[in-house]
Amino acid sequence: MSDVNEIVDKLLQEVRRGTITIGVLSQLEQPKYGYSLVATMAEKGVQVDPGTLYPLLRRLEKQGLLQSEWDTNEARPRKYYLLSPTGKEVYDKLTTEWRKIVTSMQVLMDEGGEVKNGND
Amino acid sequence: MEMIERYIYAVTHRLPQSQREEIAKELRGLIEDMLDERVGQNDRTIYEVESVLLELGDPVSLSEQYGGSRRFLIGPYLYNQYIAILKIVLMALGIAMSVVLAIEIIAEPYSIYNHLVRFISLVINSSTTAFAWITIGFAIAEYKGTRPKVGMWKPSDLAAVPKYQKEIKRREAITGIIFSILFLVFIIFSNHLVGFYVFEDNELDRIIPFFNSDVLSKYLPFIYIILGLGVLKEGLKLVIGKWTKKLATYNLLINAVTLALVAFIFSNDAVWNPYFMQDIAKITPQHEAYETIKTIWENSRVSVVTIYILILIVDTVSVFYKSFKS
Repeated sequence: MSDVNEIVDKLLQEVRRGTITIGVLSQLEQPKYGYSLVATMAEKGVQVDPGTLYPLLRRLEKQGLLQSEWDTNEARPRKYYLLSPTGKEVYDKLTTEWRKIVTSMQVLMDEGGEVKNGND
Repeated sequence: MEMIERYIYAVTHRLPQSQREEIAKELRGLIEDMLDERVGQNDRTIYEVESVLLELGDPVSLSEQYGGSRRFLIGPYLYNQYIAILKIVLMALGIAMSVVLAIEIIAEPYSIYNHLVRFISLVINSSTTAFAWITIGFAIAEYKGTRPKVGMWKPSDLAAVPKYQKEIKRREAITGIIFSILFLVFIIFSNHLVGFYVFEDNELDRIIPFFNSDVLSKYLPFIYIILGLGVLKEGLKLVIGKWTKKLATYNLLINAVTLALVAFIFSNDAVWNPYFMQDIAKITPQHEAYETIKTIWENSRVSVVTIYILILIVDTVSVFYKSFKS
């Protein structure tokens, strides 16, 4: 049984990897710093490892999807990230595509269920 | 806290210089935030710090995540070929060296210990050299990006499946490498064994060498280049894997350079043993045999180069023939 769990974990990790990017983009219409993003996403039920999120934010910035600014006014300097115009456009397109995926996956999985029942 | 700084250092010191400082600053902030969430500023203990760092995970994998695309000296695309060629060349080297050792022991059985010591140091030397050059070659190939750019691919680019007779047999290239190594090991290290074997009462008395060891050793760099070119030639056959026009052209170029180097070395008469005929005269009292050997000796000096030229021409033409034959 532990084998099954291990495989499920691995596959889920792969599924999540792609969703995290979309999730992050969805939260950055307002500027946020890394750890506050971890917290808000966790609140909404999406657990993100800071060790994954921080490098991801940098990569997205490098790709031009995010803009960043250091806030040095507070005691602890923090880097705030915000969607860039390109990022916004990308996020909108991704949202549309994501909805399509959800719909078609729904169809696929429902069909799969029907066949199974039919065989019984 | 020192441990936090150690962790940050472990993550950042592998990253490009330009990004280190900012990533360090961001990570420091993150760790502080994570600590704050657990305990207040004053109650921090080493345990909290450790648990935060454990949550962030192995600094090496975090560093890899920051690194983005991985960079390789020899990447996965070339790795298998690299290992295959390394194995083949080292094996060929081993075989060639063992043959030399066997001949040396047979020729001079009284100094087995010396032969063994020399054998071991030769094996270590030559295999490190071979290893280094093969690695450098592949690293250059990796750096230059032999791999076609992803996304530029078209179905029409697909190479034809080599017809059976166009496929290069591995055996062939391996034999080629063994022979070029064997040949040059003799020239470089054991040229005193290449010569006229004098037998007395059915026992080997001595060997009159063909070459002048001292002069030959001055040409060592050139001889190494010839060896390198020989291995390169067979290596290309292994990498390309089939008889193509490109391979035939490389083959032509390599042969041309090899020929030039061989001709250059043998154009110096001093590479031949100057005392050869004198020594022969001492052991052949009959005049006729001496004259025969003298004729052969004088002709052979020219014919060695001529034969070599012929071999190279045959090789060049046959590779072209194989590549054009459909």
